[in-house]
Amino acid sequence: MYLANLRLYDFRNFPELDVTFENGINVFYGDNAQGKTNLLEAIYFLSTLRLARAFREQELVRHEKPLAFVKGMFSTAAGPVSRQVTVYRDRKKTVQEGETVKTKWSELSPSICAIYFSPDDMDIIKGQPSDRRRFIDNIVYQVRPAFYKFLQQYQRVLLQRNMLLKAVKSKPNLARTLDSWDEQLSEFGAQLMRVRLKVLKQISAMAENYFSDFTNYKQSLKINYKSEIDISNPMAIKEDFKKKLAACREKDVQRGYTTVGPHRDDIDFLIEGKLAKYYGSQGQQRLIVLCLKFAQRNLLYNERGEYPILLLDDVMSELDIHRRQLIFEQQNHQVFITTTDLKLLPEYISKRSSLYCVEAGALR
Amino acid sequence: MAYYAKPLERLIEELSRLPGIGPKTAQRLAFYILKMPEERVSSLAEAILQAKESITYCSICGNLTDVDPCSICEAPYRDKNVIMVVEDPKDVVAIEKTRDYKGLYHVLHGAISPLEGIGPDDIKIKELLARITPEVKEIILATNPNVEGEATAMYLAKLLKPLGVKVTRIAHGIPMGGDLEYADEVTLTKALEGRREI
Repeated sequence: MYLANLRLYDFRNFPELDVTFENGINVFYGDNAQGKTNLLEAIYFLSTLRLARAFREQELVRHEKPLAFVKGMFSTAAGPVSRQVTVYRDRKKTVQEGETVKTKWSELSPSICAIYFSPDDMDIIKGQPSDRRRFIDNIVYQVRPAFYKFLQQYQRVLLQRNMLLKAVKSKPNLARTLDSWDEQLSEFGAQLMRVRLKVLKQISAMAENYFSDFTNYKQSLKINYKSEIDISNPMAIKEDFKKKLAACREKDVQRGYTTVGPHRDDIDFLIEGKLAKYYGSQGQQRLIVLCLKFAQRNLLYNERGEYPILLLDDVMSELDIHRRQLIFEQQNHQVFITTTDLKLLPEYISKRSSLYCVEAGALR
Repeated sequence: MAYYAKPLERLIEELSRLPGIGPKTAQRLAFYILKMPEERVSSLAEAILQAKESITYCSICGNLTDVDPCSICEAPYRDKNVIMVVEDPKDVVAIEKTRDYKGLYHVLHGAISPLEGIGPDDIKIKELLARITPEVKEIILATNPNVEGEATAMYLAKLLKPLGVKVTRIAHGIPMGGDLEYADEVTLTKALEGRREI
């Protein structure tokens, strides 16, 4: 699957744009603040309907304009698919595929997908446990869209239980209703953890291989899911979760929130047995994220039979020449790269890439 | 600036406070009422007042009624051995429409929800426990299949089982006429858990 044509209208700093892309490597180069990242953002938004960076959808609309649209023609195994997303300042966005407006995820073409790699993704390694949970949960959504239902139910039960814990402090006899929430929390929690673990296992194996590969087998990466709950037997998670909830009950009441469960879990990234968060160099940390993204890409390929579009924002800056070459040797499908300096690209890459100069919201 | 005469404005205002009625619908209803013959308007107003004055809660099951105890609790042909526990009087209507259930009801008037500050003492649980006599053979828990209804059902089961009464929970599953492929995963999981041999 690849994006053959992209049209923008009042999107970020682009008043109007109509551009054709090749399957393969496309490079956006130019000075800072010209709109390179906005282009990646547009492609990501069009492909996934999600924002690559943390801001509101309305902010995709060009300054003082009422609406913006992104329109693309994708070439998929099932034929060409045209998709248009319109973002309004004052109401919900609309998604159109072909001639019809789509309101459900399940109605959209399942082939279209993209993966974004930006400097912000370093949060997966350096950020909070919640950043790592969000990372794995986002991948789970992509391969099992119904996962969000479990997550929703879990969060609802969790919210209710936490409210109850706070109430128990002043009315201790309310504690008698805690069991019914523990039962449900462990039920939904166990389902959630099982799906998470399954997907993480697939991602980890591939990411660990990439890491060895990229470091010429000089270093090894190990990815572990970290939980208070015993995860060695997937079918026993619920029982163990329930046991832990009972054991933590006194502490939970005191603190007024639930201290154990998948909403507190974390993922450890270890290089040569040491936590990358504390002991990894900037370059190693970036490499882990890159390996994760590549693994995600393979997972999506295994699930859907088509490679997602890979969007690499400014990956050149911190990777050495050797790793840069390895990255591009991996590419046999559509990739978009931004760089401030074309010289950073290995020559044999720039020779077989389509180059686009981005200048003040226009392409040359 | 006033768009309407004062009494009309008041009518619209009152109507728009009703659930499901926005300002547009309220305006439409108000204009319609103004066009209605006088006697139909007074009949409507009277019906509202009378319903409000004469409808109370049944002292046994908590359902809405104009006679106490209500017609279901008093009916000689109903099975007094079975009590179905529901959250809301509207649920009684829904079950009655099936014409398949011949037992009694108990309306909780809510479900346990810490988020809204509703605990077990804020819904009609004490009243339910008081109804458990040796005559009662089965309690059917028919609270809603959401997390609050589920928590309420689990709590009730814990209270009722030691009393030696059979406690059952209505099944969760795929709606009739529905497609498996469109069922969400939580529903499917529940339906699988509750599968039975045929």
